[in-house]
Amino acid sequence: MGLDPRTNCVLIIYEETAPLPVSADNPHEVTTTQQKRDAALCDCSDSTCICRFNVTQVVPMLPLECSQLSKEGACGYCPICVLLRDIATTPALRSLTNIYCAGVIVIQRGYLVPDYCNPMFKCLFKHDSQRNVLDVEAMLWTKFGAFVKAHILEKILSMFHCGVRPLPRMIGPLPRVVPLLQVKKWQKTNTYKYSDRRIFPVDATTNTRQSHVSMSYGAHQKIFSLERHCCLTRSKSMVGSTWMFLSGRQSLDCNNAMLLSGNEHLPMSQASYDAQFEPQNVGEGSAISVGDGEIAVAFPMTAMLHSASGTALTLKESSYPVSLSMMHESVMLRICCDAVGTHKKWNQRSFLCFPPRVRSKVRELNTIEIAGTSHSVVVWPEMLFRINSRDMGFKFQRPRGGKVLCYNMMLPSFLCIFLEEHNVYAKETDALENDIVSKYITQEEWKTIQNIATKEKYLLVMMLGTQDALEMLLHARSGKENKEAGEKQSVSVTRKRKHGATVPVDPIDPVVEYAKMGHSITSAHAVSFTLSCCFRPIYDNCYDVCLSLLAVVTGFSGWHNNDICSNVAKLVRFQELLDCDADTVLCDADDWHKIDSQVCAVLWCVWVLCCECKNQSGLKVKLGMKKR
Amino acid sequence: MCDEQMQQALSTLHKMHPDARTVVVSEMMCDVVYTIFFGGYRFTHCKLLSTHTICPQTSPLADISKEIKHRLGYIPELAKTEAALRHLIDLLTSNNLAFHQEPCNDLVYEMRDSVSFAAIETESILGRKFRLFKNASRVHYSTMRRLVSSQHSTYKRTLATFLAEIIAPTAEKCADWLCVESSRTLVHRDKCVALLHSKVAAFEKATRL
Repeated sequence: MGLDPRTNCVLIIYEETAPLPVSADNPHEVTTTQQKRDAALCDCSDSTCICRFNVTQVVPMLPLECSQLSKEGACGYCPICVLLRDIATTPALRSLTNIYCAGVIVIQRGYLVPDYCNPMFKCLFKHDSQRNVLDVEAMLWTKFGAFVKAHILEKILSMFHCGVRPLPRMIGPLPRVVPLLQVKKWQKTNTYKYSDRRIFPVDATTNTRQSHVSMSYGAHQKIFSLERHCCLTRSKSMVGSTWMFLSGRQSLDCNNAMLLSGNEHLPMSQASYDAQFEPQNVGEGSAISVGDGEIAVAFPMTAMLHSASGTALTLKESSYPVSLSMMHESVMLRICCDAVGTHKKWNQRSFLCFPPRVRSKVRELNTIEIAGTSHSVVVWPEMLFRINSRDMGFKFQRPRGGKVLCYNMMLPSFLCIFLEEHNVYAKETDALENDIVSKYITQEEWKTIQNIATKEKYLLVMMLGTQDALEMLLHARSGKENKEAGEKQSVSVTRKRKHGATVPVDPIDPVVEYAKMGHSITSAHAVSFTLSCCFRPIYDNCYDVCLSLLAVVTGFSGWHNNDICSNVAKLVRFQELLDCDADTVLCDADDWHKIDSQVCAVLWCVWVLCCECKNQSGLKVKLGMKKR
Repeated sequence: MCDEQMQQALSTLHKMHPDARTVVVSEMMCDVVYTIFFGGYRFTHCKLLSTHTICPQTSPLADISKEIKHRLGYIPELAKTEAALRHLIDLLTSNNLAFHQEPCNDLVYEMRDSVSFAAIETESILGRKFRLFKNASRVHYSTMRRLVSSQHSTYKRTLATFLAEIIAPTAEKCADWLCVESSRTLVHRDKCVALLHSKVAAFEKATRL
């Protein structure tokens, strides 16, 4: 029996649901002083704190399957079939019968944080298999992980209307007739039209400060780790233990420290074990086994997908069991009890545990209301379930094929120049606000955006231009409303900003949608991630230029090659891009080709001169060229 | 090249501030040079291994160490243990979608080697400039995370200098190449003409008889 050609997927969505800490005296005043921050168990003003994220949705996703899948079977040559065949023919993986996949994505105030997009797998085997499940899953991760991650990202990006679908790319200079990238109709309006998103963030404003503190990260530390573990725990723990090396600012420095350091495994305390056997942590009809650093709960059938809403009284209603007819195999839920920050990587421990181990605050809140005490902390487990029914409305959608050259590489590099910890503009310039206002933001509307970080405004202006950045920041409001908001602002009350400056802000309005969408730099990261679609053609040009230049250097080819000639013309164009002012940048694509003739003429003269000097037969050639 | 996309990209660049634009362009060039010489599944440290997928769990540790050194240019201080090395190579490979599971391209390998390991005596001016730029790009790529603005400006200047300096040597190199090609063609043509003359002579002689 071979592998099932259909790899079912679910999407686990983490969202930021915790509120920002506000003082009890004035609900509009954000507590930003260091003293208050220290007093709190959790530094919740830090957007990367793990306590801010919860599983809010588990949604079915289109399965990964062969494009020709029918009653006759799979085609056998599409990328999915090739991958599955490779897996099936691997001796260590022969006992596999089914692969299930779950994609984990993190939405931070409406923005996809692509750094944390991660697939995880579960496997089913033949009954006589003696293989170690964890080893097999690790091998599967190695073989299938990058592909599935790309699949998930493509799906999510299509939700966000990024709209570029890459095609397979050849190495070396390409003929011009071959389009490098196939573009969906990219509509600028859709890029910023966040109301069209299919994923909506949970409104976290209904959470209270008290409940948030009681569910804080510190409590999690106390229960699931020894005291000395708490010392090891970093203040900036993030969702996901598999941190991406090249993607994103948030994991830049931490990667070097966290991923490369020996993350030794520490056994759980007895209290931690006991906590796992409390009623709220035990599923009905489940079998519990305690392993090395993990507790595995095998649910025969009833995997309850929490809808992240409702109270204790409506717990049953808010959780809906998956229909039994859809599931034929049992589901293994694995709960990992390691303290955050001490969680060992999958290749460092005896069992496999994939990233998401974030507590569900709603579940905990329910637990508290049931038990009347705040003694328990529930770790929301990894979950995966199989859906065998084909009548779920899932339609086939072709997986992404081919390779993308600049995927997720160039933009983080660009951003790291401007980011908070690297941004000399923001760090070393005291009068940055005035600088920005005087340089770029001279329009009246900019004054209404007082609650957006200066450096973020700076970054957006640098990337989008003044007008587009302004439109983006104010996109939710019409021009008329903006005017009204501006009038309101003059009579508005004052409130403290993060940096201590007092600026007039309307307590009810400004409704700056952008400010609600996420942490400033992360939001800007999302914008630049979207912009990376635009830059791919430029990147491809760079690639062609470098390969052509390499061919010239090594003597494999010369100017007679039209592709190389045009690529060197592009190279000259890049040189101009680096030198010229904004006003002189050509916006016409034809300009990239017009310069070919100029470059050819110059190089031709050089060539003729060289021929005269170095080759006696050059005279004939020279004469021939003059005729031409 | 899709003109619509290119136009959109140029338009985006046009809207950007000149500082941001130069950063984007120079980072792209850096990334491209790094990718061609050091990154990707296609370009492993060993040509023989280039068709193999690196498995962080099962590949020999020696190969992993060489590959890390090849891609990063150094072995990080904290990546001394086997677990750390395996995890690091997993990070390096899992984030690189560029050439995942593609066959090896021998020509690119040969070109890379001839640039990277050229003999000093026979190395051309263009080759030397390209090699130095390649090394500068690798250094920039490896230390990018810790760069400050002044260092980044340094790379931008490096790139601008490189582009300005290679035009003339490139033309000269191409001229050499064309001369060689044309002389080959001429030799071939002379042989053909001589052969034709001999055949005509033979034909004339035969007809006279």
